[in-house]
Amino acid sequence: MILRRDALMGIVAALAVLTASWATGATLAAFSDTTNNPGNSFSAAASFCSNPGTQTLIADADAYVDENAALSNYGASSSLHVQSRAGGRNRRTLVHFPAPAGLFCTVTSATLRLWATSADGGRTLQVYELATVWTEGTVTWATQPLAIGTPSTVISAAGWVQFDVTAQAQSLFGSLNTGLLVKDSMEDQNPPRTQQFSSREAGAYPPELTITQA
Amino acid sequence: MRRPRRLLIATLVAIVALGVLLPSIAEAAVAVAAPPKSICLGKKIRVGVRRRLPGKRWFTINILDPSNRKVWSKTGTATSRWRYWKFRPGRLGTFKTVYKRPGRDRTFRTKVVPCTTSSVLLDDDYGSAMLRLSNASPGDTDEGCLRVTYGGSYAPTVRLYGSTSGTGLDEFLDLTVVRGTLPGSSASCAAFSPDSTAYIGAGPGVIFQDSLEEFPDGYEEGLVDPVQGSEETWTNGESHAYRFVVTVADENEAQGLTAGQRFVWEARA
Repeated sequence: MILRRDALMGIVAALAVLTASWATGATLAAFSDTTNNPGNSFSAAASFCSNPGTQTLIADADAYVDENAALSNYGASSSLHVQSRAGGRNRRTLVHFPAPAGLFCTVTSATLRLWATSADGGRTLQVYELATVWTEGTVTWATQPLAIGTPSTVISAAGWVQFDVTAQAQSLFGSLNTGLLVKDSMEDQNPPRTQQFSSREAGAYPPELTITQA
Repeated sequence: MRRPRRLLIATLVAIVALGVLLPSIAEAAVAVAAPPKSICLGKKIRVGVRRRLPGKRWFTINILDPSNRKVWSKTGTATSRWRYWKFRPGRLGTFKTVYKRPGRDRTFRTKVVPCTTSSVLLDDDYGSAMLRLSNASPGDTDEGCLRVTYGGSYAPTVRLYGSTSGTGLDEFLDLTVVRGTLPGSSASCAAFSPDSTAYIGAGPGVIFQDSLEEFPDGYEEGLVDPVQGSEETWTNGESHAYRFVVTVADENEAQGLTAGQRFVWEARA
């Protein structure tokens, strides 16, 4: 009796498998076997950065450009100018830094420091990322690259002026290292408002970029 | 004066006798089971030991594959009852069973041959993972090889797939799978030779080249061996070697991530 019931249950189970197979469209293989290689494991380092920490970079190119002398180059000047002045007499500063040492690093903070030898206080200064590369010895107002992205701002003052350029540095050192542009947030003002900073040619207080990466 | 000389001679004779007899007594202390001389692929080699004389007796059993790679080992102390273990070879060829015990070693040979009495798909990794990367950085790479062998009366096709675990590193692992031949041990890829056919146009023998994330997860979408549209039916005794190369991609998003992977070969007929 028990044997019959077991046989009946076996038939029912087989029919259920066949029905499920038919319903799902699967075909029953006459033979099926698997073999496998388990346990392959991979873990990435918590940080890929080969040189984590803080380092200070000195500008390897800087220049200012003058709207009033749109074809002139001031790459060898010992000072960098930012000026807001009506009548097409604005001035802007371009700076470029070498890429920080280290492979596979992410910039977690970056500060641009410019030493103001003379300052027109209370002006809002902006720092932009530049769209294309430029050359210190040839760049002019007419050839200056476009400024892109959202600027960092700081109020002008004498001495060290510091901009938080973390976002710009992350972009620059993640792709084409084009450099930064400093300008007055409201150009074409009268009376003129002028800032002057030490350039790398000045010998002391060159533009600095302090980078922390991880 | 005579007595000490006799005593000395007797002692020397006793020492010589012990030196001759002790090894054979010790050898006899552990009996070993002779494995079969020939088995079908998929069947198991049975090994065993038993203590013959009082006192504990150590033993070590090693099984070596046809490339003399140790693929199974057991160490212990023989008891008065037979203790048996079974090992399933994952490839064709002659496997050696080496019994080490007090006294001389004994070696038996077992030839693994393809048979049609049972159908089976096997690999020769013997449970060891092929690939491992730890604390890896971009460009770090690892490679591993194994051999898959089919024995049986069916003519199945084979597909490759796998299952992935972890926290998402698979997206940043570049994986290349190459099919070919491997004359020696699969513990090393040094002698691996890819098939000459560029199955997917990515070089000789390459059957997959993408991120590990894109490696198929199940049979239905599995890689058809060797390639979709010209799948092979495997014959009795057929084997293929596979080389897997994994490289960490140059993506900082991969930092701190992990992945685990099981690779599966499935034969169906």
